[in-house]
Amino acid sequence: MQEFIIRRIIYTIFTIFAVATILFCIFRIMPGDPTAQVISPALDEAAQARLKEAFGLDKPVYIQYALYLKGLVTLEWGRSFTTSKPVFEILKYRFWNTVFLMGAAMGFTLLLGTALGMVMAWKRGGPLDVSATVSALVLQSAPPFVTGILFLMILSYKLDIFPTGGMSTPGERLPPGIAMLFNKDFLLHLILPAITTAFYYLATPMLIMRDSMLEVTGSDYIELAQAKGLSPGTVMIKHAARNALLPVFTVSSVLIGFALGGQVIVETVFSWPGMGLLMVEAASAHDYPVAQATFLLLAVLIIVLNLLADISYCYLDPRISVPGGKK
Amino acid sequence: MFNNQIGRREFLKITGGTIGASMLTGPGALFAAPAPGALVDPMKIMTATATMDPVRPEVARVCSEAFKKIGWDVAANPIDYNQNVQKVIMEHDYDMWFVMLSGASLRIDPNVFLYQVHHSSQFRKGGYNWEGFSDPKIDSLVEAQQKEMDVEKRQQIVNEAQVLCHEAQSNNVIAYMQMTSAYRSDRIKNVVPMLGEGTGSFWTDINMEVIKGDGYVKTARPSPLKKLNPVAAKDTTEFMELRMIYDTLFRIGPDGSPRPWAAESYKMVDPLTIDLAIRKNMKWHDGEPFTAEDVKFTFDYSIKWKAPFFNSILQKIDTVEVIGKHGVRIKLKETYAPLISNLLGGLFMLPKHIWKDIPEKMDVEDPLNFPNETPVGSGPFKFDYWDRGREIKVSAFTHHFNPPKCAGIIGTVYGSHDAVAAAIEKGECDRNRYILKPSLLLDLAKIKGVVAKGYPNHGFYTLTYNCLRAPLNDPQFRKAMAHVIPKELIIEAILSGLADVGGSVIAPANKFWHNPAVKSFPNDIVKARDILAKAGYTWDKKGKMHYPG
Amino acid sequence: MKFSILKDFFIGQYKIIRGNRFGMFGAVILLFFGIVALLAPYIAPHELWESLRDSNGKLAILRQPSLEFPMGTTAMGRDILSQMILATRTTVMIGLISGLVSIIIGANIGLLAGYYGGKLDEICMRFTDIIYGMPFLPFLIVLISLFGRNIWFVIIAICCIIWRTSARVIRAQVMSIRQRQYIQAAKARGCSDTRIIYGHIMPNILPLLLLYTAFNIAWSVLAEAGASFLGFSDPNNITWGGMLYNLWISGKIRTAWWWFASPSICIILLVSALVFISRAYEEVANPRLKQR
Repeated sequence: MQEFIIRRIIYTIFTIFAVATILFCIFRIMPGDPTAQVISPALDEAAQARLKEAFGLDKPVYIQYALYLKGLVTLEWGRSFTTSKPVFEILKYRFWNTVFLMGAAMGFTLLLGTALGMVMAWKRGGPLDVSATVSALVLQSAPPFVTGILFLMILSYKLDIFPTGGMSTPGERLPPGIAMLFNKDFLLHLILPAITTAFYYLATPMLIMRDSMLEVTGSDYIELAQAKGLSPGTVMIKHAARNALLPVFTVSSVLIGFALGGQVIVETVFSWPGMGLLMVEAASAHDYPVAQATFLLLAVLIIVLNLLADISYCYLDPRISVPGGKK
Repeated sequence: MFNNQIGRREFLKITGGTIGASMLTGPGALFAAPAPGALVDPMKIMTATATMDPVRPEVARVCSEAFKKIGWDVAANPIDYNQNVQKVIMEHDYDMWFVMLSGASLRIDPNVFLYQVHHSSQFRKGGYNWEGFSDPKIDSLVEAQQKEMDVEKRQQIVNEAQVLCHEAQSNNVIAYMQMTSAYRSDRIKNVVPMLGEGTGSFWTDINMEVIKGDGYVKTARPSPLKKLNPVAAKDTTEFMELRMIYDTLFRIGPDGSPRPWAAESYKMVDPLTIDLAIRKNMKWHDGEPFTAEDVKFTFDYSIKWKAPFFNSILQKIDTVEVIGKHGVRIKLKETYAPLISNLLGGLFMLPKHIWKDIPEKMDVEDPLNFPNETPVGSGPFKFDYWDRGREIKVSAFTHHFNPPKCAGIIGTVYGSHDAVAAAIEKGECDRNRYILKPSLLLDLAKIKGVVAKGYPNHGFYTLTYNCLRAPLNDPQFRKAMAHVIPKELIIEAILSGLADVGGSVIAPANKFWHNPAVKSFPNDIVKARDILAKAGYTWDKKGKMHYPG
Repeated sequence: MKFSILKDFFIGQYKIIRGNRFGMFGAVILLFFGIVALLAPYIAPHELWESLRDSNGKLAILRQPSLEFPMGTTAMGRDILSQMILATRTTVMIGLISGLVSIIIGANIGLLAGYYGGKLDEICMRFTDIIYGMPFLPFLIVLISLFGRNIWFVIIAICCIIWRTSARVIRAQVMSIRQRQYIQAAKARGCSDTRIIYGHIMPNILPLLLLYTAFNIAWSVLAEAGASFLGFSDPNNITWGGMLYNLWISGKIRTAWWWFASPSICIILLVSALVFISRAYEEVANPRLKQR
């Protein structure tokens, strides 16, 4: 087991390194002046030359590559072209905004998904089962900007229940750090984007829960428990659900990884100042240092989540005890 | 299958067979001479993406459709705005560029649109004459207006220059769009509209009063503010924020003429020397006194670090000296008529005690890269906080000699124009700052308690031509194209009617300098064909246009 | 001979879909979009970028659906029905091309890794892991902003990423098939690896391939719509996502419901049609789901 985990961690580091390398290459082969990736073309020539030297761009590619890797590790991610702020500073603040939104959305998806999945399996074939399956699949087919705009149209503009976007009411400054999470204004702004994300990803935990419940309820020990005369509710929750949760749990971190990539849309629709919105802004402003770092940070998050999925999978599933048993 | 045409020019570029040649002579020269009688090259109209401004790709599309009708293959090519700037202003590698020259207060003086846009010396990396336009007659006229210190005489020259510039059509002014903006009249009063700035003017900022609420005016903006660096500032929206915090020696008044501000009065000693009396008892926001030394420092510093927006004018300055306790003398290398309106009315005064350490003691290579987290100025508003990407707050600086009438301004970023309109409609925000999409304005105008209007503007949307590339190097061709573009349709369909048909580069709204004799060419395809036919262009059976053969 | 196999195959597919209500629904929708995409240039009543005038000569800006404009018009007075029809063509094309290309990449990587195992498997799977680490939409955005807003870059970017899931699943399936007796027998007979992979193993994973082709197409459509909505798409080729982008930036989402409805409904219909069909296949591949 330990050996397996250590190997996964090594793989993970390798993967991050590889993604960073691919990113480096993409920014090198793009059309136009490759130095434009760290030096704003808006600067005059003398300033550009000064910066070129500072970033080592007058050196051969392999040295640039080494400098690039060194910069990544030491958190020196350069300076934004558009705002002149160090990229790390910008991301520090954006990162948590995305994490909060993501946490709320995924928490909601998983809770609702497993609960619905359970009930669906219990009343399988019933109207709830069918209608929930269909609506979850349709929600999954509806891009988040469609659901998001729909929510905005109805709940914000028509009924005026929720704010139209942003993280707080104009003029109301949010308290810094954790205290922000308990701010009413913040929570009100959080609801719509969180639900939009949650709905999009609802189908996966729900259907997995349903299917694995069906699998579990078919097994011997559940029948045994039923034979012992336990009430169906007790059997459902105490025995079946606990075992069925396992695959949902493992899939959830992969799901969050996917959702992180899709976050760009929700954040754009609700102008939520997270990493996704930053990514879009940076890409359309050709603010390469920011785009590069944001991309990489998202990638690292996803890769780490995948690692967690692997580890939890091997801890939780007793059937896999062989190292690397997933094969 | 998809709309993907690659023209000859594109093909040449992709195949890169001519890299060597283009490096020697620049991309303009590479395509200079077409074969006689050959098909007129397909071209592209570069412009910004709809994300930045929904109007631009649409106009580019309408123009290209119009060009197609006359037998010339043109496609719209909307790409990210800063790629536009890079390709056009820096590399001069483009065919046509559709762009907005915004009517900031600094551009009321005709110098920018005449000299900087048309003078052949301004065809350089970063210059405004990216068209590569060059005409000796126009050159001498626009030089003359710059040097002429007598206003009446200068007006004459400006009028003459406008006629020639319009005839030459290096720029096809499509429309003067109005400054469309909205505010809640039930929450604020005393807004002061200004030419080219609408209600977003500086004079609104300091004169408006709050009827309801805590005295703070909530201003909505569709996209986040990028930086607050007074030395590096280049775009209009940055200037709008900076000028609240930083003072200038003069301010351009609501009527377009400069009025003394941080400089109490001035005296032209001779055409090359100007003496300024700096206002007494001014203070920086941190309590330090504002002195003539600061003024001198600002000039020296901006010259040294090449403040991008003012660099070309700063180069005309010979020396700046402190005279006495409150006097500053500026000596010029040559006479320069727009000195006050274009430089002294725009250059932000920097506190020496802060900026003398930049960049040396700060962690930046260049003051242009300095993030300026907590700006300290001397302006009527004091910086409070800036949550990047979300909100900026400034409060009244009561010590100022002209303190604002409101308690302060909170600027909030809404993701889109639509969200801005919704916020004003709901009363969540009191006003918007810059242009609000015209089509939204018409909806807002119907709401009670909201004033939504278009205000006169001297800025314009213009289609600029790369005058070094055939067929655009032919003035007759450019003139014919001016007859092809359906400007009325563009204004009706894309600008919701809130614009006027474009003609001269000096807009009619700029009453003093505009030459009413310059009229837009009519939209007349027959006339256009006529001009082209006279210039020798022919059409084949498919209706495609060919070069004179 | 060959033909009859093909015929049996299609009859088999038909039965699978026929036997499932939702699968049937999906197939009908797909067929509909397919026909519209094929005939698009012939059935679109107006040109894509034409600003239309009504019978009174006024520009038809933001008209609600009516007899004259069945799906209404845009803020520029363009006919939404025509845009929808032409957008269907582009969207379906993008979906088909990237769906097919990505399944070909994914299937081959899965087949090779699963069949050969060992070093090759290790390399392929590590590579897949790397691709799994890429955030999909950000990758699309970066690539398009760097290389230009061209439809082919959109397709390439989608193909670069989307094969990853199919590769993993197919590999797992191949590994279990590899152990079966007839494969071992074929090996013993001296069949070449290529023959075993494509002649013996591939037919066995065909339902899985179809399932993932459907998925890949669905994901491509969604990804393209997402990128278009954010403004990272070819401005000269309209897609449903692009129409919604035009709506979003026109700032009319509060009023122009008709402009929002048509492309949204079509995206949902097309993607859910694909999802329903793949669900029908899933029940074949995993019969337990159905039995209960």
